Amino acid sequence: MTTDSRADRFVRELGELKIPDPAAGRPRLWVRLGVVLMAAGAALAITAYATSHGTRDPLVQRDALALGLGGITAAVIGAALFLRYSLTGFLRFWMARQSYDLALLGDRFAEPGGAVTPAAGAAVGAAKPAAAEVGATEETPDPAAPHSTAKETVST
Amino acid sequence: MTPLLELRDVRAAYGKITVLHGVSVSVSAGQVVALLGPNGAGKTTSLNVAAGTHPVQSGQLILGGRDMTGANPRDLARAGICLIPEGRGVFPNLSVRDNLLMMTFTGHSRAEIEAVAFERFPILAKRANQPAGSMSGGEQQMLALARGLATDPAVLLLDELSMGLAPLVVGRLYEQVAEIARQGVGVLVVEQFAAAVLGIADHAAVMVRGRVEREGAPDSELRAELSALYLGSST
Ligand SMILES: Nc1ncnc2c1ncn2[C@@H]1O[C@H](COP(=O)(O)OP(=O)(O)OP(=O)(O)O)[C@@H](O)[C@H]1O
Ligand SMILES: [Mg+2]
Repeated sequence: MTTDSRADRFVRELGELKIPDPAAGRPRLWVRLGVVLMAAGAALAITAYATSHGTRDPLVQRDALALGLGGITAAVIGAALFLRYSLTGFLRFWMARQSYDLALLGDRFAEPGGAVTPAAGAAVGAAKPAAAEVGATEETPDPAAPHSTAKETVST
Repeated sequence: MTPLLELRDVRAAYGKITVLHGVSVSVSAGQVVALLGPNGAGKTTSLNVAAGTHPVQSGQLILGGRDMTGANPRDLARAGICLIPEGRGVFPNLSVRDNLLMMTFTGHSRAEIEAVAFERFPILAKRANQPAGSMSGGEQQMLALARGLATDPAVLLLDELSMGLAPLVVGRLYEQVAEIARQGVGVLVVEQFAAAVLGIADHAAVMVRGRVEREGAPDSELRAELSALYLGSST
């Protein structure tokens, strides 16, 4: 009964999925577009400067002003695209690194006396709960808890 | 009934080195399938292919009768494929409660997730405010399972649940896995040492060097061949 409904739902949800094109290197494309836009923005600003100095006609100079503003817009959009798609790549790496460090830290706490043998490790595991329960009562379970947990563990 | 998960003649590689040479396995709803084999046989790689996190060179990943080769692993996870990787998939310096809280991204409320977790593993309720890393290995593995269950999986992929645990603890964990399967989840279990998992498996496949060498019911004949394969492969 439950079997069928969950399995059926699984199959139905899969049916709605689209399988992406394996050749989708889109992030890189966006980064490149960002760089191109930034360069284009700078080029536009220089062109606008040259145009405005190459004439005494105020109408043309105002066109150059508009052109320069266009250059700023292009550069800002380009910078946003570039940051968005290059930083995600970097942050992903940074987060992986962070969680690895946390895991390492956790391992250190799991064996405070530098216990190496499994038996000693088990004994430590059994002794630990009492220590942890002291902090347990005042610990408020809110999203900020990760920090408080970490601090309490450090102080023990 | 069409299997929920099927690897069909899958070849997969790391760089230029092919490590799966045509692996086929299938798991139906409510079934526990054991994938056994010595170190480096390609068990973990097979699980990663099943979860969509490792690309195939050739062959297919069929889910619910549909070819899903190359699908985005995120989409597969959302649809109901849950991989619990080797080692303990918990955040050691977060409390048990916070570990479970993180699973609210699935859209289930904290109360629902805790209800499911604490009903199946009452010990976790007692440890709720304790840092996960300070629990015993078995309890951490229970927490990892509870976190997996919070995603309401249709297929559960388990990698070496028993690693570093006492046989008694492993036995109890596998009782829970059998119970999860009884509720209709298809379970694919990877193990190096067969004894514990063969007790609950409906079907077993033995992998050696990227190939399924033997497949069938987990009877005494398979157990005998298993030990022969292990000894044979070490030479
Ligand atoms: N990231 C990687 N890069 C290169 N080769 C790898 C990588 N991961 C695994 N391999 C190789 O692929 C083969 C299969 O590895 P896999 O992890 O699937 O084996 P396993 O059956 O899970 O082994 P174990 O029981 O030790 O976990 C091995 O020969 C291994 O050396
Ligand atoms: Mg492995």
